[in-house]
Amino acid sequence: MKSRKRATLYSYAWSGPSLLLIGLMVVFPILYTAYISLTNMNVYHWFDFTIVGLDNYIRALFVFDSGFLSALLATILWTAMSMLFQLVIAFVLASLLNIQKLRFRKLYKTVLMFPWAMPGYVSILLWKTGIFNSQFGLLNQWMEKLGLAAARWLASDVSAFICCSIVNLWLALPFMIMIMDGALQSIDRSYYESALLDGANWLERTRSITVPAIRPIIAPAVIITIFTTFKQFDVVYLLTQQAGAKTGSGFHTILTYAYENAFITNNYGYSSAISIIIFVLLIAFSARYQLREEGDR
Amino acid sequence: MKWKRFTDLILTHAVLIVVCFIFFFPILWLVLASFSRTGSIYDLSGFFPKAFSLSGYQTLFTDTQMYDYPNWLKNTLFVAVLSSLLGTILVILTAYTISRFQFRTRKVLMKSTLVLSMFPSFMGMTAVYLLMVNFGLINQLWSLVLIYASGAPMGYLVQKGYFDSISSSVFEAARLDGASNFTIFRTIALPLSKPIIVYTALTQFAWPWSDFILPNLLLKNKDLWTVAVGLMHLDETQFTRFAAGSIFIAVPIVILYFCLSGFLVTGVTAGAAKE
Repeated sequence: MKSRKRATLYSYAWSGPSLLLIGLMVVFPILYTAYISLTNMNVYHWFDFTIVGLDNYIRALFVFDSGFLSALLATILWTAMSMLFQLVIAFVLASLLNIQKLRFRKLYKTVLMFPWAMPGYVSILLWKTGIFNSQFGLLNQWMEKLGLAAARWLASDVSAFICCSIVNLWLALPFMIMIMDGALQSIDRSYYESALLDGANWLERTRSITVPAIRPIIAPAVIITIFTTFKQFDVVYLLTQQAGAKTGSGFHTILTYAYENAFITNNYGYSSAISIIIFVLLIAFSARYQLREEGDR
Repeated sequence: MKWKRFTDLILTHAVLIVVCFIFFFPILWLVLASFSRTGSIYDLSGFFPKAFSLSGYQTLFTDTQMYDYPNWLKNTLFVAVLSSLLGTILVILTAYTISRFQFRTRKVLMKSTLVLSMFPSFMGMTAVYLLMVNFGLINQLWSLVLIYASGAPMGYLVQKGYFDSISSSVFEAARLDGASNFTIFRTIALPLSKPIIVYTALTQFAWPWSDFILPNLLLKNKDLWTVAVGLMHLDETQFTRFAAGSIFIAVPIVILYFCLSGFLVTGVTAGAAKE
């Protein structure tokens, strides 16, 4: 009994500094954000802000012109598209890499890892100034050589969405390929051999052996990727929204939308409400996933 | 049959080579551009620079009037090293505590860190800004260190998993010998956990090293810029400078990721698979 008490004491003493810092830098900001979300704090009311109740939430959720709902829709579309492409392309590439007796396998894998290992902002800025640049970017130089008109790739909503998706794919695929590759390697070859003897074709083998076998292995990584894609900020911000270098595209994910309202137009009350909504959405999503997982066990 | 197998193989290699090219060419281009003699992107014709030279790297470190790269690098190093040091200590202590000790709020703590990590962290910056004003840390690199270090213990799962895997009989034996908790931690746990400490330190280093959001929000003073903020302010006329500066920041991280790749991938899957 006494040692148990001491263990408790130790636990708190040792995790104390962490808990204190988390309380200060994580919990307090969230509580404060929740509080600000109920006020009209903005440029005009820096210090004399008043409580306005749920006005900010109502504006975000029920006034379509406010832009939050369209940003949310765009984010969901963005996440769905990214995940679909990532899973399909990664699956195909990982399958190719797992063909038996493939030569240069190591070399291919090493090269494919590079985008993942680069610091994200360096790659994104490189795509922006180097490749999508409207005047002398690589893409427009190629367009000119082909006799086509140069385009302002990041200026309109749809093409900005596509460009951001491509960069995001480029950044995210290596990780997905590695996960898929590991999963594919763990499948017992003998399943395929007996399936081949039964005359199953590639599609049947994929559907009834490969997919069920890799699903539980890649599930955690896929869930994490869904989260990071949904919370994607870097790509969209650096490509199109950077302060002083806005390209004119209206494509927003919910996070760049919240960021713009907080730090560009300084609508603190409103942007705080949005942060809280995002927070709740993510908790709801993860709770659902956790429940499902618990049910599976 | 044999012929078909041969064409299949050719096709496989063709696809892989094309994909590898797409994945690799922006990086190759960055390297080439960093050796361009003139600074602006307008002087690059197509893929290759017109003339090669090392002047990009030279101006990076000598022409510091407008863009003080050495200073940015110094600031980045300062923030990354201290965050890594502080963050590692915090993570290891937290993970060890949660792994080894049973205490009443343990489950609650684990659940709540999971929930708290859902919050888009930089959106709490208004509050953090207020805190920093109160601490007198505004426009100081220490504020960044503090934020990164306190974010670190939120990701303790991988480390906890590692400590969980150490057999508890070792600890029980030491306890029977009358060793105190601190002695056990110092003489048994620490020597056994060298790999996880290295892993933690490196990942804690990589985050501040390649983050741009927080420095961009908090560092208004030009002397305090980190490399990320500085590179964001270089436009296409300074492309060679940008390329050379990027290479310097990218090489350590790329090496680090390649060394850790196996670890990082299994870490993600293992850490998430547990609770």
